[in-house]
Amino acid sequence: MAVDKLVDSTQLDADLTSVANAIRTKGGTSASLAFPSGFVSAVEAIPSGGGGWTEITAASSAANAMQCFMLLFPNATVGNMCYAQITNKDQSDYVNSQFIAMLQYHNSNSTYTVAGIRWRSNAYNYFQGANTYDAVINVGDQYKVMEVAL
Amino acid sequence: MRYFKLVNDGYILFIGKGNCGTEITESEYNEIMSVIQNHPQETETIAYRLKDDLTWEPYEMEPIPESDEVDDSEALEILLGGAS
Repeated sequence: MAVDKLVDSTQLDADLTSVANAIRTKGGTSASLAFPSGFVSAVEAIPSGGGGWTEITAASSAANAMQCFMLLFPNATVGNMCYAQITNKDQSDYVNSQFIAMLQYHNSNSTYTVAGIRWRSNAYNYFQGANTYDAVINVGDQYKVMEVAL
Repeated sequence: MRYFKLVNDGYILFIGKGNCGTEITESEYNEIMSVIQNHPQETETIAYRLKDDLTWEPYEMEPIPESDEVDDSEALEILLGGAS
C-alpha cells in the first residue's frame, strides 16, 4: 500500500470518536464500534423516518396494557399516537382484534396521561376513556408497537 | 440488531428488538426469552412477573371490568327485541 499522506493519529482518533459518539447517541447504544464494520452496522440499525415497528415480548403480566406500552416511549412527542399490533394468534381474547391504537400525551410534570384506546376489529370499534383497564398482557405475549407522529 | 429489556421497579416488563429500553446483548436476550418461554402457568387471578434477577414472582391481578355496558335505552330495545 502506497503512503501518500501524513496523518495526525491523535486528531484522527478524536475525529472517529466524535463520529462514533454521534452514531451511538442516535442509535441509543453505548456499545464500542469497530471501524469500519461496526460503524456501518450501527448506522444500518438506526430506524429511518422516525417510525418502524419495535418487536416486544411480555416478560410480566399486567392488567393495564396502555400504561405498559407507554413506558416504551418515554420520549414520546406530545399528542403522538402509539400503535400496538398483536402478533400472537393464540390470544383468544383478541381473536378479532388487529390493532390497539393509543392516544397519549405528556402532562407538564412529564407524567403520562392516556386519553383512550381504540379496538379495531370485526366485532368492536369503540373508544375507552382514560384510567380504564383495557386489556391483560400475559407473559409470553408478543406485540409489535410503534409511535406515530400525527 | 439492537436488543433491549424494559425494566420498571425491578421487574422486566418486556424484552424486544428495537430502539427502546436498556440495551442488552443477544445472549442475554436469548437467556431471558428462554425463561419467558418456560413461565409458570397463570390463572384468572394469579399472574406472574419476572424480576430482574430472572426469578418469577406471583401476584394477584385485578380483573378487567366489563366494558360492554349499554345505556338504558339500548337495554330497553334489546329487551323489546328491537336490537341485538
